[in-house]
Amino acid sequence: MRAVAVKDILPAERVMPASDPCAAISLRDVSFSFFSRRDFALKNINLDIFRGEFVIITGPSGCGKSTLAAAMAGFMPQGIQGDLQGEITINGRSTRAGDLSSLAVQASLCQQDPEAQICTLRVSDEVAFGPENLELPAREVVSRVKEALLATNSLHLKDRSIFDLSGGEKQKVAIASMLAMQSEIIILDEPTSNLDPESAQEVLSAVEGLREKKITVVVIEHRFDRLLKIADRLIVMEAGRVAMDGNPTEVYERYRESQGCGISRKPAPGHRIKSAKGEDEIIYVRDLQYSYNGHKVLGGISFSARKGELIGIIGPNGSGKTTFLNCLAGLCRPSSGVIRVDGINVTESRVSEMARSIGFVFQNPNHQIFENTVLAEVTFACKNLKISKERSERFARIAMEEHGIIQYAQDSPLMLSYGEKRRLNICATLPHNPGIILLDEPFIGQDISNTERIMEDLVRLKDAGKTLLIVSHDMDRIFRDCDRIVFFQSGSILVDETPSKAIDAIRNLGAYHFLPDIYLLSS
Amino acid sequence: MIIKYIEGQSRLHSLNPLSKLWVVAAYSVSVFLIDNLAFQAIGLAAIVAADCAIGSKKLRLFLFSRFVLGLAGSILILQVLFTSSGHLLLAVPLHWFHIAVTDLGILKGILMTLRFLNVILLGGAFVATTDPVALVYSLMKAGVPYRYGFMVLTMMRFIPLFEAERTIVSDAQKIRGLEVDKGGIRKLLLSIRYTILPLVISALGKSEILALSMEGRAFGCRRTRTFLTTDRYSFADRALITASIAALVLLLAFCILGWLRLRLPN
Repeated sequence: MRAVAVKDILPAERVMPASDPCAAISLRDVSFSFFSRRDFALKNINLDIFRGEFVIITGPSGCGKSTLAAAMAGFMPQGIQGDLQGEITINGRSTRAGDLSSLAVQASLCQQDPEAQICTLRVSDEVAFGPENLELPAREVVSRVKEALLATNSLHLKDRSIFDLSGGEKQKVAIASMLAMQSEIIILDEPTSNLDPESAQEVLSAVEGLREKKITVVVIEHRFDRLLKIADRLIVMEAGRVAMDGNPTEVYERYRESQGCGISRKPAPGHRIKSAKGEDEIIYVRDLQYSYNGHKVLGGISFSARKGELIGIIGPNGSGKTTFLNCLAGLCRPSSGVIRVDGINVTESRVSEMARSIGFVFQNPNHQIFENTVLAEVTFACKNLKISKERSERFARIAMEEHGIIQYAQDSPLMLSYGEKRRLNICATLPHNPGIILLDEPFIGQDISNTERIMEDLVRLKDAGKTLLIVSHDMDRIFRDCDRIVFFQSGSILVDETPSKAIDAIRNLGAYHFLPDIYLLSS
Repeated sequence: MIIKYIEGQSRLHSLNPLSKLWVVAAYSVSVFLIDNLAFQAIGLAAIVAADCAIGSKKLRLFLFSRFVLGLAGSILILQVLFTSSGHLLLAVPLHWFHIAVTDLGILKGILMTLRFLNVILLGGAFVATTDPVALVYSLMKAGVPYRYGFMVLTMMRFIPLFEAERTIVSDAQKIRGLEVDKGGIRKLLLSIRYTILPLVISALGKSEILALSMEGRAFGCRRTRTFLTTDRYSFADRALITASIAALVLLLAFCILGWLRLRLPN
């Protein structure tokens, strides 16, 4: 293991030595800007990744991690169009010289979204795709497919259709398809960001397995606690620069301090808001059943929530969490059962009628941005609900002020960062003053500080008397800030308790992946 | 009613996709070149028998669906109404125009209906018994440039994703009070505008990721590539391909030489 001292932000004028001959990847004075942008996504990066190293790269959203990953995989200047300054070498060869196919066998990049990077319809076809493109003999392709699937512990998926795989399985297939290229370097860009804790653990086990194969591994992650013990280096990026680089434990502590995350991770004692007469009960669900294509998704759910409750909904992917939120909003019509929200019988109401009572924040911020300006986006629901322009703009401005996006009022929402878009989504649920806000995975793709900021906003909304239901895989935050934890599995609620009691209940079920990190480690 | 590939073990399923494609091509050409009611009727009976032999309930439902029967009936009626030549069998004088039913109109109507049914039911049998992925791979192995083949494969891969995203976008509009079915055409157009923007953004993002993923695995760097899947041609496959090619050549030759009399029976 090569020891690298922690260093401060590299000054621009610092003269770097020539590429280290031992370096698998070497970047010298690398700056890069996309043709569509004036600012630089990478600024004067000097970095060596050595052969056989296991390196973690982290940093806030939009700091250039994914751009750096593409640079290290050899996609600049040939694959990604933009202005590249400086020199990138992979195993001693400049990325300006070789063609993409020769670079493809040197370094492989596995991207964040497994859904979008899979181009075939069967697992074996997907893993064979790279070797087939290299015109390798069929026997060699077969052997590589088997080897790559074994390395990611997914040989059993070989003949499965891509459409039948879970998110974790898709990500493992994506990693296997890169391994089949037999590159000496593999770069993984946020491989677990879209996965539930159980699937994330599966993928991380596969990533840990790569360590034993003695290949150079670079992992870009927001949540990398589990990988710290096997990593050689931790690199922190900030605004397109390498801000910290060195021993993982030391850099991790400094990074957490810089992000203001030295906070207690203990779960909140929580409380179930009780009302003897039930007059504060804003959500009432009894024996809710929902089936899709003959498959039972929700089987007899009973649930209630009161005004001012912040409820965390957790559970594996496909356990019915999102469907449950959709049923509450009237977006899915249940097979049977009663749903009453804010006094309205949901099963007999139009979705647009529910809009007055419910604000819904969907998983992908881009799926719910419709207007040309941020202000118009925030007042979108008010316009549809025929609330006067004056009133809606007044409340929209208050909401935008509180969520820190007022300065973008007349800008296009598409110009906002990922974190700002998420805050815009939340903001857009507020001006028409619904009593309930449903949030489906609001923290996906957000860095630590953005996540904290969003959570603070949600706690403030709760304090203002709103009822919030959050579906999330971020156990630390859910257990820390929610009043109640609802654990879904196979379409049923198995646990509905305050955070401290939920920990014991979930532990008793053996679902350790759904505990906050400190409890997961002790379990 | 949409017909799509149904997994199965029938004889038609086991045929090579390319041999089935040759049969579809040859038969479709012959259906349009041969104006013979007996040929069309026998052909149709054979196709219906084959469709039933596949043993798929979905395919049987498709055969007798309102879509197929309705369209066939419409073709028949339109042909009868708009063919004025031939012996007049029935005349219905109306205020604005006269309806004239002739023997030739009825014959043409039956012929066009049989043609339509032949083509659509043969197409249905082909789609229901042919794995589209296997078909694309067979075409690529047969010489279709693999870049085009993968264009089709990635489309098949992403269409269900975009359909799912469209549903989410539509839900996001509804839960923010946009009622498409209440505001007439203006609201509908507005909803389309609001739907296109998020989907285009998503498609651009996905295509960028996909391009990196494919290029990063050396896609398009060589003129040809290895194919792991092997195409098997049984005796039946070879016989069908030979017969189809022979039929196509003969039909075209007869056409060119004028031996095929393209006219309706009297």
